[in-house]
Amino acid sequence: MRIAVIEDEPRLADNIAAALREGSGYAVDVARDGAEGLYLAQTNSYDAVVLDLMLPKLSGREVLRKMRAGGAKTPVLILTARDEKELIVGLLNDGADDYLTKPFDLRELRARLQSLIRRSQGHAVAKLAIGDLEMDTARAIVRRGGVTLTLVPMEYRLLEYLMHRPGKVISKTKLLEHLYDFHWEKFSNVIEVYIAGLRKKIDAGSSVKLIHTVRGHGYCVREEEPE
Amino acid sequence: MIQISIRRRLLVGVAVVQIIAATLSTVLVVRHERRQSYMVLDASLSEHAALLKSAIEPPDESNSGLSLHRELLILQRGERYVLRDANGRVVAASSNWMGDVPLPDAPRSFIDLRIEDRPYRALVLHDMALLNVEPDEVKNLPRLTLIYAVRTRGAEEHIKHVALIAAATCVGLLLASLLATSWVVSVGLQPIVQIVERATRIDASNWEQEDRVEGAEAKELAPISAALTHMVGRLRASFERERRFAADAAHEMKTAVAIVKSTLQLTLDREREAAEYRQGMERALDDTERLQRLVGDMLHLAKIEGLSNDVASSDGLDAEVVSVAEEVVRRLAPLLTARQIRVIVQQQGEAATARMAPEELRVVLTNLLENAIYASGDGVGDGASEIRVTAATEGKECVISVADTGCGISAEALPHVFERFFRGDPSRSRESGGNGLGLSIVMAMVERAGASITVSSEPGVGSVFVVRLPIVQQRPVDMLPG
Repeated sequence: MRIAVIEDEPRLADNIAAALREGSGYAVDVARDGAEGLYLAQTNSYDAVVLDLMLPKLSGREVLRKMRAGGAKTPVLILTARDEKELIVGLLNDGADDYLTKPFDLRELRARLQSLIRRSQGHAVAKLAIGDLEMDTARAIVRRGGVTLTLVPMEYRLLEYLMHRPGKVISKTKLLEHLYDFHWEKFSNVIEVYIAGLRKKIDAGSSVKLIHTVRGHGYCVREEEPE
Repeated sequence: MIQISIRRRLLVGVAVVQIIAATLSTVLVVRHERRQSYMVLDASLSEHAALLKSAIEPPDESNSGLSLHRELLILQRGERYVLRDANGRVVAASSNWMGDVPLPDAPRSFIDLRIEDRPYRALVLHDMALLNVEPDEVKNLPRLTLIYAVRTRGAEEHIKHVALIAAATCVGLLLASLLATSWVVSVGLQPIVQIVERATRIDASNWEQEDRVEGAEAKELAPISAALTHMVGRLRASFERERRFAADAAHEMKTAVAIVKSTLQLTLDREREAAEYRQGMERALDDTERLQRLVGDMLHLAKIEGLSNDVASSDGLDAEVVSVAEEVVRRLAPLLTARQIRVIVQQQGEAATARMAPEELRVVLTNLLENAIYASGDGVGDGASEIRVTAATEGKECVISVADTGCGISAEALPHVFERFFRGDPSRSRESGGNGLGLSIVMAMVERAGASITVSSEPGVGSVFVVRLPIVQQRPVDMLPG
């Protein structure tokens, strides 16, 4: 998952970014003002945006409106010091998906972001399942046939992204885009490495293969073989 | 404060005027009536006297005396007369005539008498000529004096009656006019009542809607309604300012708290090495210090803005500008050294002493210098950054200028640099610890001291802040003789 954090307070932005990277295993880009934030949101494909309201150059609300006017469906979580009902209602009507008032709890921020991302993929609960492969995104646990698997963070993030989109073929570029911060070009061969790792841990002892490679297109998680 | 009632004042005023007018007119009416009545009375006296005269039989050859045809006289009640000859001897008199009265010398006159303690009006005729007698027809014709008196009671009663009617009419009119005045005043005060009603409707919650306090249609009340509208406008503006400040302050505080909280949470998020915990704690302490500075600056600003000018002048000692500036530079020395910024403090002309408490001047100069340091960037390595503090006396002013060779302020930002929580370059000043209140504090202090501050800047070249403080006048002690 790749998240944009648009927050002008450097210390707060750094803390949020660190919490999302360390705790949720997300890739995080940080923008320090509204204009930069809007540029990021318009040029990259994010799984969610964390947006502060009081921003220099372009207010958070303007960023939100311009994003929505451009047709972006990315979930947006607003950070605000104010919690007047009119403001909140206005923001939600402008296309915000959720909000948190400062000072907020980092765990709550992570939980809300996770819920927003899950919802945006059409899932209602934190538990994802394909065949006998289960993933609890809230506790970061993966099981196959009741046996808990031990994944490295990058494998987990890769699997999470694929399991959020069951049956869909995801390109390598898209995976790189969503799993890494800037300058992901230099990691261009890592996806194959992690896919191989996942195959070994998930499909090795099983007759039903779940992780598939669609040559020339990308990767996909599903029970039956793709045509 | 004693409240006055416009209505009561008007009513009392009208009543006093009316009472005076009523009294005057009653007096005039009574006097006029009295004159009229007495003219009538006198005319009737003359007639009676003529009648009496006609009843006198002049003496002829047969008898030498006068005789009176009493049967021709019909005396009314309260009428009396007497005829005397030149020697004062009574020739003839009414039966009820009594006593003697002092007489005027004029040949014909009307006098007021009291007979038997009752008021009378009398006609006195001396040397009365007799009717039907040619003067030379009868020799040694006796010279007669006639006094004819009539009681004035009837006339006086008439006058009293008229006076009563006049007074009653006046009292009636007075009451009627007071009622009318009261009504007119009520109607006249209606526009004021309307203004009051509209002004009453205005409160903090709805004054966005009540844009104007209109004084109905009364021309005279236009200044009042204009003043009220103006006042509401100014109050609204200042409320709006306060509200924005409160919102900004809340945002800054909550953000500062959010930083502390997030730093601590991040540190506790997972098991870490001792060194990592230490690092987290240090970061949290750093964040807490920023929060502390923000709270301190906000309270400081609120305190300065809450104080009146009187307080400022009463605790105002005089500050030796250059020595205060040197002290501030000494305090900031570690920061200046770390950033390799050179500070030059200069005195132009004689020593400038500003009319400002040294503690306040210290804060002003500290904030201006800190601002200049932040503007100069970290500047490590180039050593070219320089801040120049100059103090000079110009006329009755002490001019302090703080010039830096930093990044400068853009033309769009320049008018806002003294606004609370304004930051020229947000990310840079946040990182350097500025909270956007330093220059607001400077502005508030300078204004309170009756001084002024201006700023000029060129992006990339540097900024100059100029404070103009009143200088200390000659001390009164110096002017005392001996």
